[in-house]
Amino acid sequence: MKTFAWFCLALWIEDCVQAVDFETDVMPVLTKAGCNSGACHGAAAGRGGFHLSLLGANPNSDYDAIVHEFEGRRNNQAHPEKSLILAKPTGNLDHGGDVVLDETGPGAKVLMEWIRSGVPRGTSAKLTNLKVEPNRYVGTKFPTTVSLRAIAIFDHGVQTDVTDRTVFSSADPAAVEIEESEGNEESEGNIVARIKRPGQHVVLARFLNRVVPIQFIIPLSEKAVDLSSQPRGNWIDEEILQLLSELRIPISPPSSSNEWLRRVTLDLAGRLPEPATVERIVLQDSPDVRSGYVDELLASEAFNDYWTLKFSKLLRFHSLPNDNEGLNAYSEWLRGEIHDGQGLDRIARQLLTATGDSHFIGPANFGRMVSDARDQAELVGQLFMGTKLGCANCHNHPLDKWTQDDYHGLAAVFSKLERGREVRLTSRGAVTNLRTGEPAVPRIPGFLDLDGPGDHRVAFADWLLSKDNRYFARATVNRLWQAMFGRGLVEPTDDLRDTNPPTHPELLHKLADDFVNNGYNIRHTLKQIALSHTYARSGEIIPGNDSDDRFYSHAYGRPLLPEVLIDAISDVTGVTGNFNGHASGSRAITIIDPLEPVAALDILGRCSKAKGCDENGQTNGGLSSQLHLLNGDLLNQKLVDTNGRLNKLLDAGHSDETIVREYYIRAIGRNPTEPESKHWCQQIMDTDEIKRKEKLQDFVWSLLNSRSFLENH
Amino acid sequence: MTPQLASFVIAVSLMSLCLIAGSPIADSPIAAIVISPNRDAVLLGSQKGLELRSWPGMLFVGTIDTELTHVHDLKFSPDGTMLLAAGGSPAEKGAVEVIDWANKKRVRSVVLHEDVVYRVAWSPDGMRWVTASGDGICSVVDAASGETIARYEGHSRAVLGVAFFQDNKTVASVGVDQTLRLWNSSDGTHIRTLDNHVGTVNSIAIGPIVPTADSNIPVTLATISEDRTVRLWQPTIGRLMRFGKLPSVPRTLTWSPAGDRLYVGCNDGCVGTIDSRTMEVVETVDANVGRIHDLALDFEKGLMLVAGEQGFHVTGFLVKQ
Repeated sequence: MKTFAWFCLALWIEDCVQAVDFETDVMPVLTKAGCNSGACHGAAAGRGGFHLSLLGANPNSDYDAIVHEFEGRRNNQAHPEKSLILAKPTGNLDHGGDVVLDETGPGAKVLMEWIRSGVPRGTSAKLTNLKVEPNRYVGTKFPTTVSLRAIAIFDHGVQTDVTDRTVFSSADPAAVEIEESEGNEESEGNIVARIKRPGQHVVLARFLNRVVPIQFIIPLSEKAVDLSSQPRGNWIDEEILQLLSELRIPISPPSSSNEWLRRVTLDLAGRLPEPATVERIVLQDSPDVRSGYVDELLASEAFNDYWTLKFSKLLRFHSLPNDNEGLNAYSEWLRGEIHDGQGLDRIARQLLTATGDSHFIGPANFGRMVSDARDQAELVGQLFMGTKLGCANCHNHPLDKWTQDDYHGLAAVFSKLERGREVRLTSRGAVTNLRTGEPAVPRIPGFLDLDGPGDHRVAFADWLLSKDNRYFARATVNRLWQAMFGRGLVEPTDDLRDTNPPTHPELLHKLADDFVNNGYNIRHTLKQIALSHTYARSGEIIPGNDSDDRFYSHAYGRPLLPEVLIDAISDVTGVTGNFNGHASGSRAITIIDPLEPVAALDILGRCSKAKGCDENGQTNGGLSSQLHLLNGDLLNQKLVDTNGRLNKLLDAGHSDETIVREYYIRAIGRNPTEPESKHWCQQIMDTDEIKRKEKLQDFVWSLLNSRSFLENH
Repeated sequence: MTPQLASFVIAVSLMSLCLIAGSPIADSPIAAIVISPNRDAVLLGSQKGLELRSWPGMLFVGTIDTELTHVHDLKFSPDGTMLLAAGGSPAEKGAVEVIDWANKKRVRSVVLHEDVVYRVAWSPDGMRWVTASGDGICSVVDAASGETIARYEGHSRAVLGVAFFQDNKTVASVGVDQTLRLWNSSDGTHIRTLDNHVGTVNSIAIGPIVPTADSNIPVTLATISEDRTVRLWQPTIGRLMRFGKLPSVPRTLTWSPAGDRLYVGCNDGCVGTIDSRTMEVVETVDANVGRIHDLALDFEKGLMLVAGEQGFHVTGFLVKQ
């Protein structure tokens, strides 16, 4: 009877006053104060015996911890002011995290009212959308301030201004600072972004389980830059030039024919252009000739080798103990698919669904490159969706929508896979959902539970490769862009999420659409990029674009892949690589097993099997690789090799000038300029043949240690 | 009459009836309950203080003055003359108030800890009592003087349960560090740690001594944990005897006098009766009080008093004859 009485009274009161709600009122206070951050009680083990879900991802467990745990030690309904949840953050009791709430501020007031009203759980409305104003700001000057506003839209249709409960955080506080003035009885609080630096910046707005990025663009110059008359090779240029105009960044002139030729050959085929090719293309340079040359490269065996290597790194190829046959079958299959020009959707489907004898069925090895279903889920998320799901193993992803159910659900999709030589689906095998402690329900992340019978891998592949799903396409074209420019439209390339927006959102969208509409054909997309004027831009810095490292006003130099570098050294010196177990003359880019012992590759920084390092697998100038290039056998032995190019040129009686030109065109794809040629000839000239030879060796050594050679630019 | 007005009128009418029966404590979270030794009264402990009611009618009788802002445990001395009320202020102090049951007056307040006292237990001879505190420490106190005899600091985190062995010397304590620890109450020396639980150990209860032909029958302990298990131990030899899995996290437990049943109150508001020989749940009663904090059983009347997040509930239960 009493319960009924309270119920009736509660009904009446509800009509009269708006109660404080735990999820929509209390939790934002805790999030804003940082209580549930990873550094505080949101840590995996909590802090001080008090654990909250990271950034409020699990309101039920948080309510339980605050209200129920240890017989309600954290709230005191008889004496609300003595509640730990209030007394600690306001500093009335000793708090390891210092004072994070003003005792008289709105946050403390919300907590107090909530406790006074009996710590109700409430029946929170479901947040369906979070709108921020502005969501994109293009300014004209700096420093400047921009007022921020957040509007929450709930499932019952109510829109509420939640600016004061929203956490705004700058991705780069040195560029954008968030300033907050707390409200008082006369005026409401105000939150502004103070922009201190020109460029493109991002601020994240977080309310409950939604995180929304706000983009700020401040031109790098006060003077407008007119790019309207700049030629466009295709729609890629349109998007790039539009943002450059907004940012007032002038563009560098087009690269020379030689520069473009070297760049595109390295990017598409992973090798340097032959002197004869340089001569042929440069002499006849035109859009048609370039288009024809790109087609030539895309059809070459070198392209197949190079892109087999690149995809093998993404797929984490590696040999298994006493089992090289599987890797051989896997690499032969992959190379065959690339050679045949198969769409990447077909390749992905085979990888996701293959079973059978892995010594004969290449894609069946996909699941053997990881240790278990969870690893496979992470690889699938990273590779096919461009997302890092790993966070959601232990807690809901703090910056994305992935939940623990998504993570363990995707792992459950692969949990019945037996990963021996014979890869097969079994009727057993499960993954425990760490959130529930129960077997995870197979699930397409963020979309659908797969609780019916059948091979859930097929259902996942169907979803991933459906026409209106852009996860796979966006992740792939972003990687292709990165392969051509040295950085992705989204960086890192395996971290695509709303809160890590692309530099050029519309371009990424169009690239993905174009990729899907052209049969997931990587050659098509690569050609589109290669023939754009953006790709053909010079690396020369001009006044006004020196600080640009992401808007493509000029080309960015980037180090060669270790495998490409070793092959390039072999090509220039005329001394082929000698790799154990491989035929003489083999190229390093055909060594796809990271466990194969090749000291030079290890020193230059090739990927390990543990991580799919599509962006990290480049020689990055680390000390060991620099020392190796300066003093190691990789270069020095090739310089003195009696069968090397230098000795042959000397034996043939070529002049210093000819030798210098030969090396220039092989190493950096162009003839030396007149001053360069003169300089080197003066340095090399010697009547003593032995000394002359040594000087020529020094010349080649210098050339091969120059940035012009070590980088693609 | 509008629906809202109707709700209000009904509510006020019913509330008036309720206020006649008792104070609002009845519908607020109750952390501790105890039935008086002569089974005519019960005491309820919560953040609102100590409240006396008749048993089994549960009519409001009055309150007992206390300085504890949180009351977590209530325990009568073996002779039934003294009552311990344990609690304190979280993160500030842990205290135990000694109450003379005859006149319901506080005779002593002993501040022992830097955090609340979650549980307190009398030695079977009534000479000592021991605390389990949120500061991770247990204190053994001389009942007559209120002086601390020994402290045990072996737990790494909060201690949630404590019990005296029948030998009046050995103490078992459990806590957030997932362990069951045995130690000597005279000097606080550690005897043994049992760590089979894989979650916080919420409570502990010593089994009754059952007269048998075998005089060396070992002490049996029961513990419950966040890992949703009930475990039976022979702690003196460090042996886990058997365990049972529960559908909900158990919070409090009590033995039947014969030692053949365990009554476990859980997060889902249900009290499970467990056969201690098979560890199977043989009966479940929904107490309808939300998360359960404490249980008190009157075996003579066959009634069970359950306290939890949403007040208290009296219900009958099966008493095995």
